[in-house]
Amino acid sequence: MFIFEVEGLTVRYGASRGRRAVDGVSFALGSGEILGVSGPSGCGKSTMALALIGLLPADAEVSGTVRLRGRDLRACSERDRAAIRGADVGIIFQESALALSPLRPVGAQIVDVVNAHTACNRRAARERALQTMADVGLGDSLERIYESYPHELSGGQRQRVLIAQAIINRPAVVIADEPTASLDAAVRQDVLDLIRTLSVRQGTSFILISHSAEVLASTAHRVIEMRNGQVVATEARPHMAAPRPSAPASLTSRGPSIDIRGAAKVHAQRRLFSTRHFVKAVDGVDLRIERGRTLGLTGPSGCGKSTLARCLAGLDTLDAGEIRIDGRPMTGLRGRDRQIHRNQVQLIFQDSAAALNPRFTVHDAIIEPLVVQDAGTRGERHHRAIELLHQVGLPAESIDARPGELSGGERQRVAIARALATKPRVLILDEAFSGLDVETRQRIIALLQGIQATDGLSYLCISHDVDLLTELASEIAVMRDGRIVATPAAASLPSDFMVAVAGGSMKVPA
Amino acid sequence: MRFVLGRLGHSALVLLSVSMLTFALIELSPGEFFDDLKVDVKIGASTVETLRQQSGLTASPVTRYVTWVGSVARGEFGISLAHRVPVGTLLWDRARNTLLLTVPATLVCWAIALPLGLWLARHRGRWTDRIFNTASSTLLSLPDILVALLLLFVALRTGLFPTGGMFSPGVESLGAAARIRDMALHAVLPFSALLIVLLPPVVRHVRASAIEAIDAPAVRAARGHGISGWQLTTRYILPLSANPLISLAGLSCAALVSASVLIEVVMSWPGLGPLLVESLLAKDVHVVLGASMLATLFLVTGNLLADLTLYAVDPRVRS
Repeated sequence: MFIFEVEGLTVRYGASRGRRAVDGVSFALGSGEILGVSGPSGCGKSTMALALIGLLPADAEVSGTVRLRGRDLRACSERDRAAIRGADVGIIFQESALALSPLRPVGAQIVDVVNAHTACNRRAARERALQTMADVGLGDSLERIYESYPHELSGGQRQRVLIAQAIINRPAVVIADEPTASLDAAVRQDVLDLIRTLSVRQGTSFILISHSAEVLASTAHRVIEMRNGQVVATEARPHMAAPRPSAPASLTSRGPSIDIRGAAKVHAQRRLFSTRHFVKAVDGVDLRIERGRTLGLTGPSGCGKSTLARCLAGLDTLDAGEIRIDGRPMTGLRGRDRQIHRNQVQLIFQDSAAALNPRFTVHDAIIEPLVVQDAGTRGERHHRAIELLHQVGLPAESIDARPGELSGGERQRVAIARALATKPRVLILDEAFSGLDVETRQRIIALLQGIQATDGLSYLCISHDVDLLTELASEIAVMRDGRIVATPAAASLPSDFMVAVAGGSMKVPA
Repeated sequence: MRFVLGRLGHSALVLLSVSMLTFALIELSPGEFFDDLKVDVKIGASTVETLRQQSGLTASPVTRYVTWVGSVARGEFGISLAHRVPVGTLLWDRARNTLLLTVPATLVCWAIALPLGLWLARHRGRWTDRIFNTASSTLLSLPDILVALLLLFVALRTGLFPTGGMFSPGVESLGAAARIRDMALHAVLPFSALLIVLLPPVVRHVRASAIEAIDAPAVRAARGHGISGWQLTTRYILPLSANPLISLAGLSCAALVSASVLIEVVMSWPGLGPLLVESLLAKDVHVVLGASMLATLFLVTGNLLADLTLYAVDPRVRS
């Protein structure tokens, strides 16, 4: 089912009736799909973008059909088209310095887009604008940015404002015309990550216009190439997973993904002269993680967090109690069944550099779990590796790199790709963000949340950092001496209380 | 604040230099007020010389300029040779009559031009736009005097409006309301003539800047987000086209005392126009000087206001 269909779109300009700026362009766009449009400057990419939403000047002669959910936009009145623009079809223009009015604070310009389509009171519109600004990563000092004029912001911030304008009304399709052209490499990566995340999280389809092959390769599911107004090539990207239409809807409805009951584990310490000393590492733990949800787990060092995680991952066995994954009991499994269990639960550790074999290339590291399982042919594994790299936002070229050539954030992305190789149901993130700087950490978190939204993965996130857990998890379990002492909802948590608990300096009522 | 002070200092400097230049120009032009008396055989040369001395015309130009500046400080702007009163009071009476005509005309002009120009820009290329373009070119190419004469002709033929002066004879005996009504009736013709002269260039400017704004990427982007109609016009198109229009408004402020000179003369409206013509012909130096200074003052004030408005409107100028 296509959400956006274009057939035989042709544009001629008044001055040169003979020459066609856009010549019979046809394509169709699925829900959540990112369609790349490449081509040299002057090939008609931008003209096509404007023609799609009826923004060409009056002297342009347009023919062909543009359908949004079956409705022909070209047959609509200008009034109807204005109602569709910004509400059902968003657009991100390339020059952020020009696409915003210099005379109006950016917050007001975002609110204008809301007001153009919905009768909404001042405060509600403002709240919505601030929320969207946070969503597009205009994180710190939102209020200040809201009141700022465009010339007071950086290029990256302005570009995010444009994206906020384009998505604030949750359009089905967003046309992005060179959204990263004027940005430096780091910000560009962020903006592309954001586009990818939106496409998986909200099912937004994108028409991503760029002359940069690199940008398209790392982001688009499919690329059409334009020259002299015509589509000269369509590069289907077979290694890309087909977009999953509206994935998140059914994710949380099918009962808990992980159900741990009465789990207990005793470490026996043998002394030299046969005296036995028992430590109850895990002592009667009950935990549930809903499908597609994240549970935070915190507590002082030595409280049994990691032991519980190892048992869950199948690296260790429980002495008592049981673990069910998607309803199937996992205790007492042997051989092949146990292997399957291990594939369903994957661990990501703190030190990704140590977890990756320095002599393996990224490709080798990612396919290693598949090789161990003897899954797929060589070619299939290679495709899967590229697909996974794309999923974690790494360029396909990095496939031959070795861990030493990558940054900390990139290595953590490789570790995530490798953990995802066996299509697990559960990821255990054991202090997985500790070694990363704040910015990289935010990007990895955004990435994991995007993956969770599409694939319905459940996360068990273990950390001492309570702020991180409150951000990432919907519920947090606090462990102490092998027991769960509290499971408050993350939102209701006073953060100093948690810090005290995690640090072990405070008595907690059981 | 520093911005305002800077602009004020600049304005004062302009006024001073214009006064010197005008004074020098009048000084250099041949002839003077008493030349008519010299050719009159009944008046002796010594009488004329005495009159010149009394009026201070025999002193050196520099002395006379300094004396004049002194009288400006007292608010007199020199003494009119023909009227024998301080130029200040003379100018003020006449300027008031002129402003009674030009201020409403300018306000109405902008009140029509803004919506009309915006509307024409938004409906560019339609038949209405083409008709306006033709009409405004025609009006622009008509000399002011022809417009005034045409109106006078129509008024005479129809007898709807009085064709000269500011009041009917014997108006002093009427009440205040009736006098105002009488004046308004007399003002209709010069007001219409002035409006016809002022309007076309302003509408053209508004239309041109609005078209530029409409084609700007920011407005196209706003339209891309579905912003349209009133919201698009008032929040995007108008602010973006405002810069040149604010400067133009400053200039039309300057024209308040000069735009109507010709029309006032033709329609015998007792404003600055007839006074200026009289004084020029009679070589009544101080009146000409005073009137020029008044025009300059309006120009400088208009520009100052425009600069301050720009400063208030455009955040880029502020930072």
